[in-house]
Amino acid sequence: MRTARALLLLALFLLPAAGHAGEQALKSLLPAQSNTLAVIPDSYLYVQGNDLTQIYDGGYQRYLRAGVTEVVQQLYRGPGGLTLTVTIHGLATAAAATAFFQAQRKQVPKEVPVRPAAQGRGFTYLAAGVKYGVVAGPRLVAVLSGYGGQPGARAQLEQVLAGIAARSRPPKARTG
Amino acid sequence: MNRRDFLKQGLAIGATVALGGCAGSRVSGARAGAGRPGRPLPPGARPVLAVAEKGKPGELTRRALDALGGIGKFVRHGQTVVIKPNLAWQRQPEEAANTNPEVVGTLVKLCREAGASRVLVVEHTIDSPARLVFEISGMQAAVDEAGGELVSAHEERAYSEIAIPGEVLKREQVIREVLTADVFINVPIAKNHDATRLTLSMKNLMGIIYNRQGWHLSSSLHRCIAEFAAAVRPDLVVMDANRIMLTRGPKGPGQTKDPQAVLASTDQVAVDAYTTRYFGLQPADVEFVMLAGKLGAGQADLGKVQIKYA
Repeated sequence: MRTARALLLLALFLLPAAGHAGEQALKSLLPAQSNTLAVIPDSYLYVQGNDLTQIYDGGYQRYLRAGVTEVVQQLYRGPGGLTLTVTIHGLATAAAATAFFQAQRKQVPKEVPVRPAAQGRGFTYLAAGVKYGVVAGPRLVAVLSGYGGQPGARAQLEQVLAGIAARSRPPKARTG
Repeated sequence: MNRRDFLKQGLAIGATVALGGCAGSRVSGARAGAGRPGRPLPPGARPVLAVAEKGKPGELTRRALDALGGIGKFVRHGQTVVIKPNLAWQRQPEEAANTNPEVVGTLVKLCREAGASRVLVVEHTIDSPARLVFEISGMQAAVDEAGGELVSAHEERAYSEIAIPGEVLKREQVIREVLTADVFINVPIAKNHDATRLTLSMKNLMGIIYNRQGWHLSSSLHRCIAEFAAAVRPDLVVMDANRIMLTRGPKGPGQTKDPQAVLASTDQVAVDAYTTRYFGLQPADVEFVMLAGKLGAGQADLGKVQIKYA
């Protein structure tokens, strides 16, 4: 009886974490500060569930419906004043991440292929009009918005996408 | 009812309301102030809606205001004006997520020309930091050039609590400058919204409260919008429909369309009702528009509105 109660308490304790990769896991995918990419102060956000309103306001329900459980966001300054927003969405399954990615992709009026170096496990693209890129990993979708219009902006976005894709590669399949 | 009576009534309501508010809104026992009465029409008078189409944003703004009798009808020498654009996002003007900076800049300039001593453009941005939103949207440059001040309302101390005699809303924290300004002008952009179908002028008032999430998690976001609009009424609404976002609102990026229109009126419900047509909708398709009309926040029946094409 005591054991059953202990297991129940443990289950209740772990329940809120179900479906979440966790802040540290998502945060570790963000680009690190470098000579070419400076973190903008006060721009880091990590939210779960209904707190997605802090990023999407009334649009948050669309993300919840798509299966997004948590989001990490960080802004950067790149070369020549380029502003880069990196938003990484955590989803429960690879299928949900792929469907979410495809839904976003449909909304992009003009799609531009990216260089192979930026391609992750899923898809990558940049839309020229809004400089918008996505990479889908096994359980996440990263969205990048870049502003500045400098000649190097696209290369910078691709480099960041490539970095996220590399960091998001799943561990080798375990046996047993 | 004049402004003084409205304030007195609000204070009385504040003293009698004990608890309430949308889910998540802060509730205190302190006496709450009142909202704003807007510009009530004389009994029997029809609200006037000015519609300016086909032109550049600044020019359309001037034409719409001229059709209402000019900015001098609303702003007098020495007054403080507060302008509330929709400026929530780090998006460039062409993405139609924020109010066009040319519309706001023109309005600031007109207010200054009318003798306003101070023109504040305020926003509680969703994306942060606010300074980046102001920069990327082009709003900082437009407001600076026109002689206004662009300010962020992120700190809770910038808000005052008011009483709202609604079914859902009882109290709300509102940007103090909005409550105390001589003239309050709401300058939204028209766009798609996932939760309310469209964002229009009354929905834009969500940007002057502190706890937006309380409304999103409430039993009815539409009702919150309508009840608040009945309690805090702008003196003038200038709707930016130069480029509108048709999908994936409120943040986008989404598909856009260029109606090239600016609307102006003292009646926020009439403005919102008319704007629905740019999306191929009717006023009845947007729940908060009809609710606000029923609550007396303005006229949702466009047959009872005098429309002037500028």
